[in-house]
Amino acid sequence: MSYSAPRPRPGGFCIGRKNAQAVEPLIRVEGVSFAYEVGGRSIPALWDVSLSVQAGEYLALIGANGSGKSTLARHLNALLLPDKGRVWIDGWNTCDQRHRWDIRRTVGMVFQNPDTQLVATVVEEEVAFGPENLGLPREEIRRRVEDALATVELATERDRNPQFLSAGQKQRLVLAGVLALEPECIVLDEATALLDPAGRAAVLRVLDTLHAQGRTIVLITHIMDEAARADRVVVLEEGRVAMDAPPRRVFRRGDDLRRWGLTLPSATALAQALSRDVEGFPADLLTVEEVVEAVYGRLREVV
Amino acid sequence: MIVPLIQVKDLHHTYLRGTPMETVSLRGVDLVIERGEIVGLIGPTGSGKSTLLQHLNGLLRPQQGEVWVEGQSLGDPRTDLRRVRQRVGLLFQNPEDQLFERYAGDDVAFGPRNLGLDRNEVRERVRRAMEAVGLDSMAFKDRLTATLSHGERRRLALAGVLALEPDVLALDEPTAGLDPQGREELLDYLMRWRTERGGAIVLASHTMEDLARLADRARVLVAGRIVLEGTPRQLFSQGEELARLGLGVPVATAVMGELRKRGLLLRTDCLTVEEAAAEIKALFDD
Repeated sequence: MSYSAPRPRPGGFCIGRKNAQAVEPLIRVEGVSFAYEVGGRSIPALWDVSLSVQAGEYLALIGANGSGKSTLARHLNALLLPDKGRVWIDGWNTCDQRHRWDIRRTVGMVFQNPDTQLVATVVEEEVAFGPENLGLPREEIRRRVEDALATVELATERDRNPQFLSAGQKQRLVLAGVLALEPECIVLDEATALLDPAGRAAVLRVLDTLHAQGRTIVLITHIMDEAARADRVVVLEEGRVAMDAPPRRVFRRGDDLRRWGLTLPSATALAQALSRDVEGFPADLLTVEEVVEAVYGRLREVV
Repeated sequence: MIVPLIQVKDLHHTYLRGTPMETVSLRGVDLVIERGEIVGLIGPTGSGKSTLLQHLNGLLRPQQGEVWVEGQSLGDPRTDLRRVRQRVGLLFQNPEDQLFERYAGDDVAFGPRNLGLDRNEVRERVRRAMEAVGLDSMAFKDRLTATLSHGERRRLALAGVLALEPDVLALDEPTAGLDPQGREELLDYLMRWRTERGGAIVLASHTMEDLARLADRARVLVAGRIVLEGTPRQLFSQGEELARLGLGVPVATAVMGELRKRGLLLRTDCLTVEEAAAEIKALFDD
């Protein structure tokens, strides 16, 4: 995505932000290349990746194993720094040491395995850990903990030991800990991969809530039905951006998806099968609800 | 009498027994696995699936109840567990629990080397196992394990299990973290493996589509007990019951269930997109 002349952002979003008048996106990845250097060998992971994410977007990042998704994610909060190119987070260059903590407060990360991300022995303390380290006043810490626990629907579990929560609850607790830092953007690196269906549904519901609140979400997933919920889908292939478009356009490209190591969401596959046989049936549906509506609607027209 | 390949009888397991942290995981599980069969285990996290799988190769010993592999009791101290582990390959949920060698190829070779196979045979097995999981062995065998991606590590861990050439695969979430093509390739491979080798597979998964495609029978485990069993078709036609247990149904099945709720007379036991499409299409043909 490119942009030339600065123009003001649509109202609302910019309030309280440094760049209120600029078009500066929240995340700007500019020609980034990165290789892992291991034992004298160089293993390329990203190749000239450019990408801008505006505040408030819900973006899914998909691609085959080893296509560079996690590597790109780790560039978004300065866990990795580009070999070539630049990453700008809310106007800060991730290579600029002085703003490392500003950047990490702006972009929060949730990883695959909740057990490696939890530190405290009480749910509430887990959530307070981040804000306490920021040296915030007590009242502010309390408010943030309450807000975060309410958002992830864990307020009733506040006194429990995280160890005894289900995996889905643990992952929501990790998310609460990240939310307590009040980041503008949350990056989830396959955070739903190990969860059972109910746990996964609960995490996705929380993401919808956060998105509705105007938070920016970057969701890395191998589950195409999850990616279909985002506003925008970015496909990585061997370290390059292969496609960047709304899900309805990405999931129209069955042949390309296969080449990229991906598939259609099941609902889309069903819609496509029906569109071949049932006249006037739309092929570009993304969810169970859309397919159900289309079948019902089409039947009414026919009968 | 022909003994079943694996038989589990009234199996109980409690973690940290006798401590304040005591957690009951299995509360009396019965399970029979025959040769050539693929059995799915479904259940919310913490329901005991992984604990049950870890009993099948003697990694966990029965505290109460019995586990037999080809008639040999795993609770019997005289049973040679090394042999059992050669016959029953266990894939952990988390590849980090499984991988330990510095180089990817060595990790896959570890099992075959320990079997005392000669170098050529080890090399051949490593190649076959890596190809089976979609890792080009020439490109990957000298990679440092630590530099592999999530999905690559999962594939590598599975290759290590396959290289032992076991008769039973006990797989804990084998497709989690695989890209969609990788998942389909793995499911196809497991189907072929079953046919060609005649072995059995026990598979725990949160992905209902995997079980719908692969399993001959499935068991639903909740809080350490088997609460439902049947073919995937029988189980997934009970969508509301599964939802109540925190589980789901394949997307195709969910569509059929919703349409039926809205008054359309349709089969609700469709498992795949193809089945659902055929069933819905018939509505328009009438």
